[in-house]
Amino acid sequence: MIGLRMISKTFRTLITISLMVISLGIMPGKRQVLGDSMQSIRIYESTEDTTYHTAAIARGNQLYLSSNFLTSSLGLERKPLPNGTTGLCLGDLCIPMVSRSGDDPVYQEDNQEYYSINYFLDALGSRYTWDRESGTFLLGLRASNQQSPEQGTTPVEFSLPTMDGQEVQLSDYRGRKVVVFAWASW
Amino acid sequence: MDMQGAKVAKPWVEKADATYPALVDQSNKLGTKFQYNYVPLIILFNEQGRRVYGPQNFSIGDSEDRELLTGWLNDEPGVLAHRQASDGGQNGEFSEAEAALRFQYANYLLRNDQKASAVKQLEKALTSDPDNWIIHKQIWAIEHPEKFYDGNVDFGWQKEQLEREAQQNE
Repeated sequence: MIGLRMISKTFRTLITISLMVISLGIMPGKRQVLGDSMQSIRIYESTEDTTYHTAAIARGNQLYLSSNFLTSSLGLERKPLPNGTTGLCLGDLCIPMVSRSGDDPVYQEDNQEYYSINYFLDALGSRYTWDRESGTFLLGLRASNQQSPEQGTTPVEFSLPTMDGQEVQLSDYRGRKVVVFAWASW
Repeated sequence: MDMQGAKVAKPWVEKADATYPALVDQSNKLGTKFQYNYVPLIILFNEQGRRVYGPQNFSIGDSEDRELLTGWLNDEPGVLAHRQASDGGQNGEFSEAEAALRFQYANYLLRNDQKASAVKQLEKALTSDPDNWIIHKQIWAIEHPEKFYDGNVDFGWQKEQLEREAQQNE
């Protein structure tokens, strides 16, 4: 019991220290720009169907996320580009993070770089929406933003599970005509 | 298609004694891909996997719909072209990416037992895409499951609900 109590006390201390560190981390600190606010935000990534929590800087309509978070959670990497600028990259697709019509896509604070996720997604043509009421930023990083193929042009592919969870692909029926009937009980 | 998954669709599939694969589209994946906002409808794909018709509304009780389908399956020439001309082609422009994103997030919340938050996201999705009957009916089905999943769908209640909503919006 004593051992457990000691562990418990140590654990509580660790939590307290951790919370202090986090609190210090998200304090306004040295930022001087009026209207900015550091806040805890939930990110919903639709193609992974998962959520993350992180600290972010809200500046007008732009939401800035730390480069560490972008890399570790969303898989976006910073890469130097041939023109000397820095790109934020999704695989081989890099978006130069340079100022465009007055918007500054990069934000520096306490030796940490923050990138405007809106700027990146706009350039990428990805869909997103910022639900400020619930403090959630919804994005589809790897979602196809393309319209479905025109009728008759290219073969289409999709997959859905059966009632028993077996995945079925349209291409499983190649060589046969397929009727997809979409319905709901309601 | 139902955010509440296979469990609510299964009784209907069993009742129909379906001999074809019944697939579950819990996150409205096809609705997003093929840009439709209502059901029931059909989409037809030829032997090469190319989409040749739809999405278009479809009722097996409608003789013209049945003729279209049997005609196409029997390789009758021109059957789709005639119908597409009279239908005016596909649905209108699909500019409701936000609604689709919120719908997917609502699905995530519902699966994580956050029903109230899920409904809120669906209501916002419906604001972005007010003609989307999939979202509209999904909200009803979550909030009033007894009107949808107790054996029969209460279409009388749906009609009354529409009238109530119309009065509220006046």
